[in-house]
Amino acid sequence: MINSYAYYDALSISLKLSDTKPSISEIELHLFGYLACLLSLYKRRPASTWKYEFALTKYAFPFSPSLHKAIDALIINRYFVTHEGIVKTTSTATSEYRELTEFSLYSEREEFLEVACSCALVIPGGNIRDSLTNLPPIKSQMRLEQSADILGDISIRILHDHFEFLYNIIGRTTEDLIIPALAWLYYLDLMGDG
Amino acid sequence: MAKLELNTEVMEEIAERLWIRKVEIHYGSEGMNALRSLMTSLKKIFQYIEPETITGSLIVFVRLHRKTFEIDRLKSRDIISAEALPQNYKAVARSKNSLIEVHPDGTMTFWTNANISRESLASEALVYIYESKVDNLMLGGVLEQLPNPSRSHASVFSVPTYRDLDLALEKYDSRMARNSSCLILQEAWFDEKRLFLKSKPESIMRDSLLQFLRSSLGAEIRPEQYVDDSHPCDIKVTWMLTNRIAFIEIKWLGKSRDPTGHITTNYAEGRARDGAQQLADYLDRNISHSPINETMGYLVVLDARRRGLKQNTSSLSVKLAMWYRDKEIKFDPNYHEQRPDFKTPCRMFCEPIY
Repeated sequence: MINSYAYYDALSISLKLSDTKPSISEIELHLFGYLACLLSLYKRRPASTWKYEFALTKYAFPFSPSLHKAIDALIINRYFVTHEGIVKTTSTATSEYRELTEFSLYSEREEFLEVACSCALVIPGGNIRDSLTNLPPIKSQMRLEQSADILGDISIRILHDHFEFLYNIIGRTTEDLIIPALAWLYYLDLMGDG
Repeated sequence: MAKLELNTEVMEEIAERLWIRKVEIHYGSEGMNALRSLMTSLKKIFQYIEPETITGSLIVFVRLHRKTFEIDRLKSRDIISAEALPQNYKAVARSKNSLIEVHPDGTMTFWTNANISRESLASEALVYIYESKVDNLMLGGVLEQLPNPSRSHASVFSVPTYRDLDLALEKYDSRMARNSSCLILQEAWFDEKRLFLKSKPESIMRDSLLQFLRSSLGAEIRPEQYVDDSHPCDIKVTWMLTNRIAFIEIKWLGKSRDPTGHITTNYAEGRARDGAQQLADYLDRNISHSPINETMGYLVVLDARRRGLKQNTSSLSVKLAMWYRDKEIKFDPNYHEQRPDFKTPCRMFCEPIY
């Protein structure tokens, strides 16, 4: 059974990134899906409203089984072609995406997907990945080389603390989510160097 | 419950200085929309234009709503997509002040050698400036530098290509060439003390660098086969899904011996200057064949010179053995200062054992 939200997200992310990146890897689709999910927490949406979960592989990549299946479905439906882990959208992908955006349950996610992909315009994907894996619970799992759900209770509480603080210093005066999103990523990147 | 160790001071400082927040402060939501358009266009521009080749300045702007102003279109060209930029934004223009306006439909207008007040432009548009290898936005009359999280990127908006190669060559110099740590490169020496090279060590040197670059770069690395000096390139680097190519020419300096022990070749610094000339000529020929590609030339000089080497020399003092360690080569013409597609020659001194 394909998770329809993951299906939509994979399509949306790939179309957004392909506008400015010569190539997109499947790993990047997972990464930006994960970032979009985290950004939805900033808006105080429960993690369960994202409708699918992420785990951390032992190589420290965020990974969603639902996204993985969705990507397979998109390939079967000929909206994606892949070669050695690189994903490309086909000419029919855009019309499929436009049809899906008419559903409000998907359009609600667009803000988070758009901001996540916009962050990639000013921060390399590798840096984003490193920043997100600097969150304390994830660091612990990496040391233990565990693959585990990275949106457990502890992670969410820590994220809420980060985001609440960010909202108090930035969020009250801005509507645009990309501002706190970048502030947060720069912070994680800086703290990771220490 | 795990307590968050959020460094609130750091977070506050980041938020206070955040460049994107200043865009919103100065230009509001209209500015934020313009910023998204600008950032997307910059990504596309730098897919086809290597920022390392810009020695002047490049200004890219998005007109704000309801702002009407005219820039003299006499020297402008309309460009449908960034793909066409290399044919319009050529080497000479990159040493001057160039201007690109991004239109709402993604097309562009391009000016070479534009004469315009940045401050005036910034009152009517959202203005980005690439200058001195730094990304900037003009905000409130002040040049605001954008943070660049990665040394590999010449611009925040660029694909890491030549900068990656620069770093890889630095590493090869310090880790492989200096002490001949590479097992392949070790085969180039005639004697254990590394005073003399073997006769015709070129292919060994090329293979050594080739293998190192293959393990370091996410690019296609190929040896070039050539039959005469008109085609001097030793290694060709191609970054897939971009229009970036690099040609690496390798020259060695020093003395070589054949298996009988006779000195066969003695290359002094003039050889390096010859290499620079050959590479410059090759780049000129390549431009006409591949106008859409961005090409960069690299001259790598493996310096195995020792002072006072004679036919029967079997050892040298430290002073003589290391005589040339810090002796940089004077290039004339200095193509690396004259041409944006010619990197500063990379001399790697291969130390002897003494």
